[in-house]
Amino acid sequence: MREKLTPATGAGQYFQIMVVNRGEKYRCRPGQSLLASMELANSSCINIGCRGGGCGVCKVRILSGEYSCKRMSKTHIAEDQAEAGFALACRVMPLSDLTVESDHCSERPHRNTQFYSDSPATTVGNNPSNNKSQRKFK
Amino acid sequence: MKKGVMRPGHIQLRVLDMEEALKHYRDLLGLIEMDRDQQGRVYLKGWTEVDKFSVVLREADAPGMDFVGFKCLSEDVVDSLRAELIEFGCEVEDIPAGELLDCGRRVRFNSPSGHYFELFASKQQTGKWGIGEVNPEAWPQGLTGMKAVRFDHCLLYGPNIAGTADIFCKVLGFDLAEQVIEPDGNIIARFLTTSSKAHDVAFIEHPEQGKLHHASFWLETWEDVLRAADLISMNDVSLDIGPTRHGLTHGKTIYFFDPCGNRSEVFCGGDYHYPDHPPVTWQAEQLGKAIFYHDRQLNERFLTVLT
Ligand code: FES
Ligand SMILES: [Fe+2]
Repeated sequence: MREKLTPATGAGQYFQIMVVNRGEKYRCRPGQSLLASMELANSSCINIGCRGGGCGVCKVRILSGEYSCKRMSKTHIAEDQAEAGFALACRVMPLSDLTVESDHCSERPHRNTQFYSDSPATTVGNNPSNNKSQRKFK
Repeated sequence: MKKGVMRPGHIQLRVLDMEEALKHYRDLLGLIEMDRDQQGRVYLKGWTEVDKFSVVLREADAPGMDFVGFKCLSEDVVDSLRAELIEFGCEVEDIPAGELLDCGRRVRFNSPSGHYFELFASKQQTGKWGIGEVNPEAWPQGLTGMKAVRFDHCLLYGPNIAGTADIFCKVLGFDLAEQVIEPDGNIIARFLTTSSKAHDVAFIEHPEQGKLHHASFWLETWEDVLRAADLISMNDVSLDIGPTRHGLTHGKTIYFFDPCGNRSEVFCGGDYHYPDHPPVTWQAEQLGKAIFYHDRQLNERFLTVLT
């Protein structure tokens, strides 16, 4: 006998995500990341990058709520920052309704200043992965 | 190969979770897992590569690239280039044989763009994977995923790529094969080759030091690139863009991300280069078309999503 078709998403629990700086909210199912559920909701209130915790583009600050976090690049979330609620949305698994603030990917230079400038030979931002071994070039 | 540097020989990438990374590099890209060392690093290669490995994965707390190494014709070449690098102003570090499993001594040097590079001449040759050296079959059975043929090149972002390109061209004998020039003459992208490939390593100007844009693997046909795209969808892998064509190099390509955000590329086709060829030039005003030939528009991710 054929199985009865049920919607793939099923009924049941979901968390409400409020992105305060954009004045937007969307739903997130348990087990989905903060970023993946935003993409599924066809929203763009958090910037999308690599979706893997590496690039820092989706950086947010979580103002309230419970969540767990997969490993995130130390280059973008240092330990004290994680304690202050900063996180990469693609690695955040909400465990309750969340209130978050997006657009925390600050040290990224804008496209135009990046390509159409003199491109000074200076380091922007702190990159711990470089610091450890970065020596001065003569 | 004017100065005896043959090809990109290996790249060491940092990953956040080794088992997840292996699902990407081994199971999806189809690289062959060749070995593991005491530090927990995993060694892989494309099936056509004769040397034992070309990709080394290291678990760390930030993704990105540790270094890319170039294989030279002989130890004598490594010695003489080592001296020339020091003369040129590079800081050079000697890495003893065996630090990478079954690899000879390496000479590591820094660069103005903040990347680390290596020269080496000796690495165990295990031969192409799955086929013999005599009367070889066309390809081995039992490959998985995208069946990546070889590690091909990487694109690196950093400041003062002119300085880094100088090391490659003046000291190591690479040619500038393709470039992007701003109206004032400033070169913002440099694609360098030491072979007849359109690029063996490429650089784009960017303020942060030592960044990786992508590591790239070669496929034979456009059909293979489409099949790679199918696998990306089937496995819910993070897609960047493609399948499409680049203007620069004219390669047919797809970009996607490993599970911790390092960008991968698989591609086929593209331009070739000989030492008597002038560089192919794209104007910065046409940058969109230079990068994504069909869209003719740059997406923000191409410039800002890096590890
Ligand atoms: S999208 Fe790259 S870190 Fe989240
Ligand atoms: Fe590439």
